[in-house]
Amino acid sequence: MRLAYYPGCSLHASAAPYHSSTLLVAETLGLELLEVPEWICCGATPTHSMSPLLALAFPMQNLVQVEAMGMDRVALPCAACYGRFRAADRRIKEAPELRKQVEAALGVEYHSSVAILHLLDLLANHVGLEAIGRKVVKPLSQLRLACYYGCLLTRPPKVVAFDDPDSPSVMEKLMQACGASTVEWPYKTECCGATFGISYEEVALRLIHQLLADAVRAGAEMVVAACPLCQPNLDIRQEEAEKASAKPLSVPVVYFTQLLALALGHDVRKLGFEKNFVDPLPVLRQRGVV
Amino acid sequence: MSSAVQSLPLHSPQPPTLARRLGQELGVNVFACYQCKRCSAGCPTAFAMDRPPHELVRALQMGHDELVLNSRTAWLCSSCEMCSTRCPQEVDPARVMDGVKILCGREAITPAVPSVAAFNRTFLWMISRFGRAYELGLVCLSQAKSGRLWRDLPLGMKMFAKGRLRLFPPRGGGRTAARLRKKLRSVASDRWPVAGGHQ
Repeated sequence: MRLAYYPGCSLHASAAPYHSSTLLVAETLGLELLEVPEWICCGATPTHSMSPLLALAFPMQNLVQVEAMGMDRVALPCAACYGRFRAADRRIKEAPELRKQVEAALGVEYHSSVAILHLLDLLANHVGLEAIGRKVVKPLSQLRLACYYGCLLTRPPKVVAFDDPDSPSVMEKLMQACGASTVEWPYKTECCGATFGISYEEVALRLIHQLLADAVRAGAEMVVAACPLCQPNLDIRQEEAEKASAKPLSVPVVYFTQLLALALGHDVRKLGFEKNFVDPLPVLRQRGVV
Repeated sequence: MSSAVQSLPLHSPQPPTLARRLGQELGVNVFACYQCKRCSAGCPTAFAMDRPPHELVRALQMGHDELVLNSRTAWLCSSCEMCSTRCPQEVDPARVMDGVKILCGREAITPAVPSVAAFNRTFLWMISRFGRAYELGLVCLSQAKSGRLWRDLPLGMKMFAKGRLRLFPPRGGGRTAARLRKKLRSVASDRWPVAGGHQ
């Protein structure tokens, strides 16, 4: 399967393990991910909070570049990028005058021919859980996972949903196909604080603590995320969140592709676990996964 | 009739209210809201707001524009889309919050939560220069603007040590950014913000 790949800004920086583990997973599953040449930032949250025009222009520019590659599908690991691309795609369809304005300003023409897929959707629904299950060589020994979706993978449902917005289960099914066990927990689609992790920590720390405390309460040994802002918020800010709430946590947070790559037989040293602030290796060793 | 009673002109021109402008520019209709409060009930950051989302929508309906523009509510919206997902009237409160921030920017209103506005402006400025987010630059510049640069220094050092922070700006998006800068400069309604901004 060949498709365009749009990593987004974080994957080349603070979320590098998400990028490297995604490529390892793709290699094993026979997915050829071709990075969109000279892609530009999707705009993320700040852009749609400042300019409706730019919020449309950035994703559209990238989608035009995907079309120029001759690709009809683009895979995105980042939940925010995925949300922005989908929102722009929808806006283009509902507001033809705005579309014309953006096309004229950019000097491009977008033919709406690109299917926009988040990595989870691609893997679970297009590659298929069975196909992935067959390639698992190191099952995850019933490691208890809290699958964390965050906000933008399932909301707003009309724009992005490839799963139930209130209680999605696609990540659980994927992790179960890898031999892990998953817990049910009500905070799995609650906000981690997003960009407030940088611009207004006090708010983010409270949200981070609530989330993680609930995952622990539900019996999770580890949290798996599918967004390169959620993971850093929950991992890097975990210690501060503990201090702010005066309640200990100590739960490692990893990207689902890291565990998937592990289950597919990739060397644990190539998966970037050493970059975690809360070390996942003790739990993985204890479970005999590593 | 008392001579003290002044007769008002019947059709005095009024500037459009925020609610009207949000309707025209973003297609959101705050008048559909019947105050069920599902938005506020599900809002993860409402605890930090001066007024929860449904109150802001109510204020917009009533034309209390000053209140709306000076409220912390929109700035504390994390765009989690919980409200817009649950609203039975499709008011799309998340878009309303965007609209308030956008109009604050256009009217040069001092944002009620300056650190968030500083972050947004810096982010957009970074994209205009590099085409991609430059995390180190973003964090340093936006935190410096809010006077909070030194707070995160120990964390920043640890991130560097773990290889989670790139020292240099990202490469690869520069050409596309330059092309877009040129093309979008002439577009009247939205401009690339300069790093200093109005605040």
